[in-house]
Amino acid sequence: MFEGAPARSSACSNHAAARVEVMKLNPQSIAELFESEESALLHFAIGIVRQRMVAEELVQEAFLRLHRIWGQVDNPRGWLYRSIRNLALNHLRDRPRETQLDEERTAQDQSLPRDLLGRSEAIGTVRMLLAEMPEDDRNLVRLKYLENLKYQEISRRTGLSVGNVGFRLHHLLKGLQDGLQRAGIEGSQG
Amino acid sequence: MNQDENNPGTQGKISAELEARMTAWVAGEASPEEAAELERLAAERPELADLKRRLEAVIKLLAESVRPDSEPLRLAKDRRAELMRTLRAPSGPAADPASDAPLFPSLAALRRRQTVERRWILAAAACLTCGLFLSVVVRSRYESQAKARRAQPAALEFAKEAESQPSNEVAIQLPVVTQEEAPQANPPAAYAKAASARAPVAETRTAPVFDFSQIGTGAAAPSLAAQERDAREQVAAASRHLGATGASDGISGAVDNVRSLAAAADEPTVLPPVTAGAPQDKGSYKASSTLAGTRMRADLKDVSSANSVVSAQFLDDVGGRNQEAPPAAPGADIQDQYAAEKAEKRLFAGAAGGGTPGGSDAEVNAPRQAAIAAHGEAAAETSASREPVSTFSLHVSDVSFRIAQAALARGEMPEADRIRPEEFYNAFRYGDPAPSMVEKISCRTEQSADPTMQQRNLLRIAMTVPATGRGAAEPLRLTVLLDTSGSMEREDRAAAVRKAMQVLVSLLGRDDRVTLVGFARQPRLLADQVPGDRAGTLLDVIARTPAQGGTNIEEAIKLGGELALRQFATGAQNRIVLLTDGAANLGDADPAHLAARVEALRQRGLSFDACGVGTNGIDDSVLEALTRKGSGRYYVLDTPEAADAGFARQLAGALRPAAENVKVQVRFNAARVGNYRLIGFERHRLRTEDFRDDKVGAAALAAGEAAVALYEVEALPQGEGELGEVYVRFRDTAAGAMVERSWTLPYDPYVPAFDRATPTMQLAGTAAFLAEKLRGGARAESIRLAQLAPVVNALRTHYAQEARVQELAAMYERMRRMHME
Repeated sequence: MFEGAPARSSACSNHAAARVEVMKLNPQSIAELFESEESALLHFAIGIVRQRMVAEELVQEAFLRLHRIWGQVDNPRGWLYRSIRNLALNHLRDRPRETQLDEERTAQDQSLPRDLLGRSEAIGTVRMLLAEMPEDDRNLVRLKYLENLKYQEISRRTGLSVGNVGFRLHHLLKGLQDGLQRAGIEGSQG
Repeated sequence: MNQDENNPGTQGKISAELEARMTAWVAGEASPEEAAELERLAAERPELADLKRRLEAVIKLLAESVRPDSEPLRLAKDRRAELMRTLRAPSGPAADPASDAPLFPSLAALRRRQTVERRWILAAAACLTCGLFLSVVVRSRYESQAKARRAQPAALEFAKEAESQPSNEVAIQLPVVTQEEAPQANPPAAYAKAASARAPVAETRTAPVFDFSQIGTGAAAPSLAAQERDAREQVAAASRHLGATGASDGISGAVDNVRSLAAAADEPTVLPPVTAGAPQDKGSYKASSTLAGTRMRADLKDVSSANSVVSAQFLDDVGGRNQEAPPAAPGADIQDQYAAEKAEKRLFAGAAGGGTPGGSDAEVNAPRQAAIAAHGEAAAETSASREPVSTFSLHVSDVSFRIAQAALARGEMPEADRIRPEEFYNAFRYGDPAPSMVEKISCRTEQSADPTMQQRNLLRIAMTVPATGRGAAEPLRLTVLLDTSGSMEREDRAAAVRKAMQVLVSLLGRDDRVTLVGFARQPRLLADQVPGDRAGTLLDVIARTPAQGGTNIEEAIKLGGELALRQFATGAQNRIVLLTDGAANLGDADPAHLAARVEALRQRGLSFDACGVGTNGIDDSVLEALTRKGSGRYYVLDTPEAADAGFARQLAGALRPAAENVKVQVRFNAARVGNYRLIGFERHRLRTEDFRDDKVGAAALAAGEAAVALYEVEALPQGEGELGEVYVRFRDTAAGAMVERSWTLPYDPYVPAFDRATPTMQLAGTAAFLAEKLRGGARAESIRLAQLAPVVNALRTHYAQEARVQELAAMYERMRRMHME
């Protein structure tokens, strides 16, 4: 989910503010957001509803809704993940019987093994929580777990002290773990 | 994650420091010695090994999450192409944020498209009929009277045409037409008519070729007429009062006014949006049985309340099958003691309601608070399964607390209807963490057991706005209405006002403008549009103005409104501030009428603040209602000393709000929450759909200010998922954009007892309990003051430096002495 976001240094809060402004002013970027999040959101939705077709409808619906209120949403990416999750759970609630009957078949239709589906939901939830984090924190996560940098190197790039990097990453992990637990996904199952 | 502090128990007994070391170790950052040490520890203590496993799992998930998907998925080709077309269309951004009319084909695309088409055809037919009928009526009337009239400039021809009729009559005819049409059309048609009469929604993309502009004008015409006539009357009255000096200004102002009114009438914003029906689907989502078959894990938890909102909205989108009669429900508003029952008959209210099809009282009162006036109802709980959503305007004031405090200090019991619990627990500063500027607002939640009721938790939700510099502040257009009636001559009150005005003047800058109106029996213009840097001269003017006569608030608001509109500037803070020490005793003192007048001003962009001078004589209920309708602040000025830091802060906050139209919506998870009750805010509650309707006014927050809401929640231990989610929506004045954010309200199975809760929780709870006790009613009986003694003592020592908390403790002692126990 970070492929669209260029690397930022310690001044990322300013960048973040500027980015929000740009996104508000430029309605074209909803299409860009779609391009960058389409796959992740589809995975997420499939992970919950287990049906490719339904998942596609949900993703479409979420983007249409976002399009309608574009410019008012502070954090469109976080909003999207939240919406997908709500829409998906909604769908499960409204159509329990349908899904129960169809599940075996659809799961095979998609030729996606069960644990992979559970995994998709967990990853989607993590992405949702990441999207809701402040930009600085997301940047730290990216540096540590995508680029696999040492604290020392992160410290050099961000201007934070090594101790501070460790402290913040620690709190980030704790926060994520709490968030996952609240979403019903145990970290130990990952 | 702001809930960290709320979940202390989840990690067992591992210290935070050790946890941080573990994290570093798992991240591969520990030195060899440190790693060996930790490994040894982990072998000894199973909970550490467990922590390590969990950390590794989260990190693995995280690493996968930040990587792009190994096999990217795409939407089906057709769907993708269609969606991209829509997304690339420039129409999207918030053309009409309040519109909940369907814009796009989607989930139920086919059925919906049919409905939409049918709707448009019916709407077109209905509107044509309306237009024809109107034009016939208007034309015939006009021709019969036209000879008697002089030629008019063409610019306002239509408005004038309408004005030549008795405008009430025209205003009434439109609803009649609509109602006659109704039987032959089915419900969606009625909805569509309403929608089209309200405003041509931003649906040009899918709209069949049909010009809506004429309908817009047709609907607006009566209201325009009413407005214009109203404006003329008011301007005429104003120029009478202005006397010789102001007369010419008044006339030129009249022309300006009429123009601005004409402009306003062209905008759909004048007309209150039509309500869609109440959602029928309130069913709660239970994760257990229905989901067991569909999801991997039996322990899946979730917040369902948001879901039911989504589905209700979705129903509206899909085809509006759910809208029977809009809940015009006069019943809801009858309870509001300030519901302007006859408001629509009054001229000035025509601005708000004249053009509304089927305009009932409920429609006229645009900020439709579903007020619960009776105390019995205030104590009643709401069932989360029947009504999971709780919406209110986040209003901050301490007036009720100070009035009660003053009454108790005199040895009297404060009047029950002056007790508003939210103004008790918002009288304190809790020191909740302020967010960074980027975050715009922060939310902190905490819980404890409710000591006064079995199986209930107290839930404190604190929203904080970041502290901003003054640089970006908008200029001010301030109209001060100063009570110069006889009672203001009392030395202490005069001193308090002098002090207050000094504070006010000190807050003004060069770009600001102040108009000062003194009022007693009649209002008088004392100073007109004084630049902020020369506002010091106002103090001399006030000193020279004698105080005598009665208090005619009605005339003051009338003139003040006119003057404020004259110096109105877009992009500025346009506010009216009323300073008074007493009840309105001359003119039309009906609170409902005054409130309707203030509300009409608010709809033209003027906020209304009130400052009560002295806690004794002020008409608390009137001032509270006026500021509520005017989306403004309400504060009291007790003594000259009170006009210090606190007052300046309140005033500065009122003058330069950082967040406007602040609304909070809590969506409870019915699978976890049985009953809940919002303590206080009875008069600030909003309907669920008002939350995203930015035309419905709500309270404002100043920079660095925090606002607190307190709930009593029944958390079901055998339930599923979190308590729910809290949403906040407001206008960020710095950016000028609406902001919406949400947080999860976590379920905590181990909430602390009240006497072991955090001091902030204890403080909020105690203030709320004292308010409930003073207010009386069903809830008061379950509150035993003696039971609170240990907590009050703890607060007294913990907040030794905070005068307010000491005052609260003193109030508690007085209450115990005065036959309360």
